[in-house]
Amino acid sequence: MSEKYWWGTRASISPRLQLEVEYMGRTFGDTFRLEWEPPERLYWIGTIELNLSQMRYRHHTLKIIYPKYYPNHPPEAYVVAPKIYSNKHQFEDGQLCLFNPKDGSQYGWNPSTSTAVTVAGWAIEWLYAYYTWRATGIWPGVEGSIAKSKHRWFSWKR
Amino acid sequence: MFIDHKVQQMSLRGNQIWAFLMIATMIGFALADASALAVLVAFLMGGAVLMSLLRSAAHHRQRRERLAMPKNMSQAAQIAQNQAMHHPDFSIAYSLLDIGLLLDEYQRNGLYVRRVKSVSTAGHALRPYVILGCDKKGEPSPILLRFEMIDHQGQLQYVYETEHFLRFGENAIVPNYRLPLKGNAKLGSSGQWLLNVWVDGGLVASHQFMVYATEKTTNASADGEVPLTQVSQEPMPISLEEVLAQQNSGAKL
Repeated sequence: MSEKYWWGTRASISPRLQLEVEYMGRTFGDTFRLEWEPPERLYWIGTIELNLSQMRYRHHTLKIIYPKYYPNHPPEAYVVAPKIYSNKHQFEDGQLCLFNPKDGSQYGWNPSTSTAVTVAGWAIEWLYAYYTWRATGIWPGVEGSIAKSKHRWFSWKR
Repeated sequence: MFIDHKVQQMSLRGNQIWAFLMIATMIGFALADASALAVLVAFLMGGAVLMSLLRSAAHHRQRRERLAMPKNMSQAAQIAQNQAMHHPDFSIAYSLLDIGLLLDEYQRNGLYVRRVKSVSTAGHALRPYVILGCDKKGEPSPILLRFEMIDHQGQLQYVYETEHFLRFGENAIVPNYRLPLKGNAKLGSSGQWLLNVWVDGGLVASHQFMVYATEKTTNASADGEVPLTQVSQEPMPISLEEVLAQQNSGAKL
């Protein structure tokens, strides 16, 4: 008998995953693709094009990983290519810091209404903010405190 | 919030009236003859009656405003709340923002979920949703939520109960469980159904909608066999492999 995860089982996926697939498809078309790493890890991977001038690489590959306790925990977003190391708003392992849980469900992650689409959108926004910061020295938006450990969240308010 | 503001306004108006009466009393004492005293007494009594009328009006206005819809309340929610008001267990403890139905439909290129006002039994499955507003900041508070769908014959067709933690802002609550439509022999003929939403034992919304029986819902044919056509149309659970494979067919990465 197959084990049951938040996304259901191999034989029958959960309504939540059905919605995730539908919303990602509706929002991004076929830009993102769902991948499965047995036994339980599911993630979206897709390449987006940034519309900024004077960039060496316009295309960026994003990976949105569903955590074990999804949707109570938000998906994690990473830039797979090109490699980006930012002193600001990025954890040691490369995970993008996209919101502050202290902001609450209205501004941050809301398990009942947010989806992978939410996080993918934030990740794209993060990339634009990152390149703006690289060019101007100013990170757009209101910034929170910075900590490299995932045990202490830090934020960038959009 | 806006209720408090109104109460403050009424309170200010009351203070102004009392100040006016006090000044009138002082003038009366200054003039102090019998006729002036009679006028003063009449004036004070009139003032007291006026105050009582104003307080009563303020009380009614407060009650009306409590029942009044929030700015972002949908039309469906307004109608559902008005309908629920006739029930003895009606509750206004929670702010209803929206209510409706989500219909699952399988099409060639996958599953589609759409909001519907009326329901055709040709669809795959149905489930309700509700959006509740919460203006209390701080820790999310638990509520017991119950959805009921009752058919036109008064039969309970769907019940879903869940504990939900209400957070500040809008709370969209969608049950995991769906009412199967296609091939469901229990649905019967077309008619008007009722979706009731209960929170902590109080009825917050009563939403009416039409269900149209657009196909025969009997599973078995005269000889007791399930028709082959129906077997092939029976929606099957979607496997993970299917979802992943669907992407391959149109992948353009």
